Amino acid sequence: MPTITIDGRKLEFKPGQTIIQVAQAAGIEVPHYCYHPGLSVAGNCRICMVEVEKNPRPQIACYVQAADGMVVHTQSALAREARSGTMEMLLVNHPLDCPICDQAGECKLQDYAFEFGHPTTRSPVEKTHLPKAVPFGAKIVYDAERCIKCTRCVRFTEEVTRTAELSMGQRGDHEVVIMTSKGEFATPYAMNIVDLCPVGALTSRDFRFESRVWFMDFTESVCTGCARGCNVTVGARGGRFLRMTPRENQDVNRWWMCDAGRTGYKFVNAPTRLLRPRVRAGAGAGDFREADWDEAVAAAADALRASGRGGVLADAGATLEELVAARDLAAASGKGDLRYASRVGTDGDAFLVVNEKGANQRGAEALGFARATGPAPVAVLLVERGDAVPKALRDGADPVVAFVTDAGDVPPTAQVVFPLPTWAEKDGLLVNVDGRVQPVRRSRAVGPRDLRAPTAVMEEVRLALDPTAEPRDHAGLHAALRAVPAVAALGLPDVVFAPAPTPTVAAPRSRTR
Amino acid sequence: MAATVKTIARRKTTLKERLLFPAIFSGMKITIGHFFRTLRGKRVTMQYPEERWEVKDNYRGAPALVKDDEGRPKCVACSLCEYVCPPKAIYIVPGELEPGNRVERGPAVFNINMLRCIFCGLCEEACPEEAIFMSKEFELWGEKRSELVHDKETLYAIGGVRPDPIKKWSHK
Ligand code: SF4
Ligand code: SF4
Ligand code: FES
Repeated sequence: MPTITIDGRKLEFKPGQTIIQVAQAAGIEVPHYCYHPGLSVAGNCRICMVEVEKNPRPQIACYVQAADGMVVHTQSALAREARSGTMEMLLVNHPLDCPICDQAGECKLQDYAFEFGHPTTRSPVEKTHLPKAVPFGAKIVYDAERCIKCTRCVRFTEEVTRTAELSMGQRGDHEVVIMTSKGEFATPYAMNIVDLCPVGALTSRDFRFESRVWFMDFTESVCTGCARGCNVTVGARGGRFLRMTPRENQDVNRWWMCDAGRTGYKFVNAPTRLLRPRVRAGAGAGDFREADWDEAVAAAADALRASGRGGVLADAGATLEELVAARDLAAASGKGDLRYASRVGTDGDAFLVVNEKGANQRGAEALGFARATGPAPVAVLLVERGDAVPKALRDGADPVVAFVTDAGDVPPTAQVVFPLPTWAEKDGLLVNVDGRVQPVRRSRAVGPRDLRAPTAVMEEVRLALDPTAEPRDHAGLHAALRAVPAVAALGLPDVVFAPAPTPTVAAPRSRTR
Repeated sequence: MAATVKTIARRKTTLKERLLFPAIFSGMKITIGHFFRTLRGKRVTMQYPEERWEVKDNYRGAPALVKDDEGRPKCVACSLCEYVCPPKAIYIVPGELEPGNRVERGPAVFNINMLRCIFCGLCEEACPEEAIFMSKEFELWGEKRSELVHDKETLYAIGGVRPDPIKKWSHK
């Protein structure tokens, strides 16, 4: 293999790789704005300049291909001076907007200005004034003054979605990004340009001004908007889910995610979330009173024992752990069918979005659950999203024990109801449309306080029903999952989840309101 | 690593120090001195609240928000003061201002809990907008705890106007 020397390290490369690719693969960071591995090379921002020996002028690392015997310095005086010149050019017109800019704190222009910038400007003229807060469709806002004209957003709509809603317009200092289609994006992936934009020129209407990034808590998880299971990072603060951004996974979603998934977290913050367990106050439909968790567990065991009913109806967004715990709880009570329900859309495409919206539909199938075709009585019901398990199904299930996320979805004839944490508030495994097992992880800054994990509650109820049973934690549930051949065939990864929190630290310290 | 112990040699107290009386008498001398000075009409106490002291310019009273001489609220809800505040006394919810404003962002909610504030002045130092200042306000009282959580209106009322020669948002 040919070799190249970067910063004194001899590195092998495949012919055709550019300097920046070889450097990044070896963990050497080369500053860049316009280069993105998922887009074509534009070479217009010039911040990636490096010194190549035997070459009198600095070269752009994102475009120049590595050659055998090439010697590159990314931190030499020449390279740093070139970058500092580029920064000076960019800052001639870039506004000093950082206090009001959403990108501050995760902005490359800010980072490189600290590293290579000049404290003062040499430009005697006023900065150019360009349109600010221009709506790009209903979901995105564009600020032409902040834009550094890297064309990442334009290239995304041209090369990835091939819908070409964006283009560069005007020239020189007046160059701006313009929408070629009037009004709205045709692609359901438009909001990826907000993540792509290296500065704060493109902001999301949904997240705009919600929080400074340094206040947020970030958790690596998986989107549950459809069965694709795009890898995401959940950003949250003070109990509120604030945003979701895609996380690179070449086998699932590459660098992207769809807009519906990105904004599909609203039910997590709903003011109508069920917060406390409910037990029967009287025999009438919907006649509940709130109870504490231990009382509800005892009531659930009594009710199951009295009914002798079995069977589960689960939201196909439930994790493998929840499904296996529900299966065993229902089996301890009586005989019945294992069924799941999910929403099936019509918006699937050849890129990421699939019609099947149940994030763990494949997992449910592997565990022996079958799609529910009509209402039938069950012992245990799990409803995370009301639209996944329609009212006729969940009320018709006449469950003994129901786990429900939203108080509006409580079936009126249930005997005991437990609040179900959303996917952002629990640890568990999901199987995506391709049979890939992926973990969702609990974000410590999302959701109401003091919700108990449904797996733990189900195990407690099962123990109350059958005192000879062994209590199982996550590892125990994983062992039970591996005992199912169809699940074991998927290859359960050995995921180690962070230890469960003590309930009262689930949300950050109380703040001054 | 084993802890290293350093023994500090203590000085022996002298007999005069151990007797205590000389120290008591030197203290009494000051007290009695003031007593006679007061008799001669040189008072050192102040009849507050009828009499008031002159608050010095560098006094650190209640933090407050200011407007510039054009009446524009200066805070842009960047939340840096919230970040820097050691006792977490500041709570801000940023909001979007209507188009036409010189800045597109401002606080929708801005609360300072004066029961938490320690008057350190770090918010004033952190502010990139020169929008929050330590005022001369020191008379802080309330009948309920909630009255000591200063909201946006209270903060602007205390802060008043500060002329700003730069006006960076007009020509940034
Ligand atoms: S809006 Fe952002 S991504 Fe698009 S050209 Fe400008 S700086 Fe680049
Ligand atoms: S630091 Fe200044 S501009 Fe920022 S939120 Fe506080 S008062 Fe407002
Ligand atoms: S990253 Fe190389 S020119 Fe922009």
